[in-house]
Amino acid sequence: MSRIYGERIKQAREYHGLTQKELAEAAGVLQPAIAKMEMDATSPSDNVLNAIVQRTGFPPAFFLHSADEDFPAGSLLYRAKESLTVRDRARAYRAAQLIRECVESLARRVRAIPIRVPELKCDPASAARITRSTLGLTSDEPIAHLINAVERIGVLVLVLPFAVDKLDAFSSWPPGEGQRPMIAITEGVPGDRLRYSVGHELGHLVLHATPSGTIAGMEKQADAFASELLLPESAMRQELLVPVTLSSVAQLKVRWRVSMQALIMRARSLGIITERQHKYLFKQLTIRGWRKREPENLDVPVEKPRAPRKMAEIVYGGASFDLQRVAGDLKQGRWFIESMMRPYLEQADLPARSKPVTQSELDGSTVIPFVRRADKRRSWA
Amino acid sequence: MCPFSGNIIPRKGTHALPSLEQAQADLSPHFALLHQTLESACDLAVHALDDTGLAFEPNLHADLVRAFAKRRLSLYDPEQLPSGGVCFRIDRYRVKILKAEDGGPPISNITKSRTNFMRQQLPPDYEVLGEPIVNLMLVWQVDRERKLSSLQFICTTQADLNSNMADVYWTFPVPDLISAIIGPKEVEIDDLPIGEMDEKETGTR
Repeated sequence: MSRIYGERIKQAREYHGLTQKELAEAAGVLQPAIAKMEMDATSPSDNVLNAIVQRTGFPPAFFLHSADEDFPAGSLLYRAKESLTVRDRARAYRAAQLIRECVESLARRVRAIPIRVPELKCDPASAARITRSTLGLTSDEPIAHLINAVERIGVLVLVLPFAVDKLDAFSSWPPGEGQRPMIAITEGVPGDRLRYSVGHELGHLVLHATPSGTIAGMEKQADAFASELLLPESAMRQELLVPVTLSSVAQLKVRWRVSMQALIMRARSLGIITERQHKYLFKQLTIRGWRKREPENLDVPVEKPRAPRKMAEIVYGGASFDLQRVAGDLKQGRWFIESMMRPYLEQADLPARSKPVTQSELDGSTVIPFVRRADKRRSWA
Repeated sequence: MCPFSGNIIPRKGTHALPSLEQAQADLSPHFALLHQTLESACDLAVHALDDTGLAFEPNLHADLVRAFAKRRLSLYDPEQLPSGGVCFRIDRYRVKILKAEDGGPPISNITKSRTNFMRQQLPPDYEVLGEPIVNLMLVWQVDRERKLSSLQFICTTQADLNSNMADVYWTFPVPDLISAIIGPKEVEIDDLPIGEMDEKETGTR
């Protein structure tokens, strides 16, 4: 009988948010048996494997090949200290791990985007300004499509095809030369909040490739980075004019594509409004029910990444590639590949005028390279 | 003495008044500024009372709202009215900012000048060039938190000095600026610079 990898059983179980006991019941065994299988202490019988396949939907081939090395949980660890449940954290991590494995497999078969994410040791605002420059932005223009901009500097943006309570995004930079930094985002997050979360996670990648200080301190730095990245101080001092009202921040929301709340907080952090005015504006948001849901007519469209789907289009010869073929190659279920590919921009979503990719873009020859750190494991990996 | 209580230029009737649709079309370019002016004036009035530690008093709040609004509307060259009243011109429209009275329209006979204004009468020395002037009330109201809750134009034709009733020709709300804003649109992006592997790189030939 072929070897069944225990790590795969654990991945499949945690992807579906199952406990060992729940999987054991589905497989007709006791919980300790599943624990042993996951530790490679025993191997499941054909009947048990079939039951696991039935319950999880992952094909037998999935369990017959070893998993990629775990990547660092990165900023997901920070959420664990707060309110994210252990089960949700494990589910988010496993989904990102499985999707990343598929995408990396595709990435090895295409000319991927060079990694240009700066690694900086400076104050968050300066880091954000340098990063804006890397993204090709001036200091006073809004970022039209943040996820696209982030993908263009080589960050792998993955979408977990489900919503996770109290988790919008997390990031990780796996150790090793040439390893691609990753931001995982969850579904169901409003567009403005998603942009802020991606900005926050980019802050972790830029500032905390080697983590230092307390988790609270790093979170605060990532917030400051996101604020300056999305709402640069020089532009805000020109545009957030007193008296700051809900109407004025609503108009700025349209231009800068961040929440009204983020704009009010930015006005406070820059000293444009007083603490009392800040509280007053937030009270007005609360009265109107806009703390939980800002006005619908101001909704910021949800940004979607593109890279994983584009890789599949290149490898499998076009926009309407055969999901079954991809699933077979990647030893995955068709359902998994379908749900994995669904949240990304398709060729048809792009404007017809979308300019062809130039050779220099492919070469990365127009790019100012940032020195990638030496291969070193992080203390928190 | 009320400055408008002398000779009054009588108006002949509603035929000289614009229709509701015409007024909306004429005034719509000013909606955003007017709404934002009253919204910020209401906010600033609350902050001013807080800053000075004065207990909230509706009339004082209303005075402050008018004062802040008048300052913001200086580009419309407001008339100099007694008691901090605010009246300004937008093309053919002579607009007076008034506070709603207990949730309803302002009382028509509180002063003679108010009654005359609602009767579509003009001060005797009022310069009229081109189209007839139309008196309009811009009526504001706040909620329990003293936040602007509604703003509407009211055009009246008649008012009675002996009662608090007036004939309303038409009325329409100045749209809440936020609900009138058109939200951000989808952004068109160019495709990513990901390409096929060179033959050399794949090793296939």
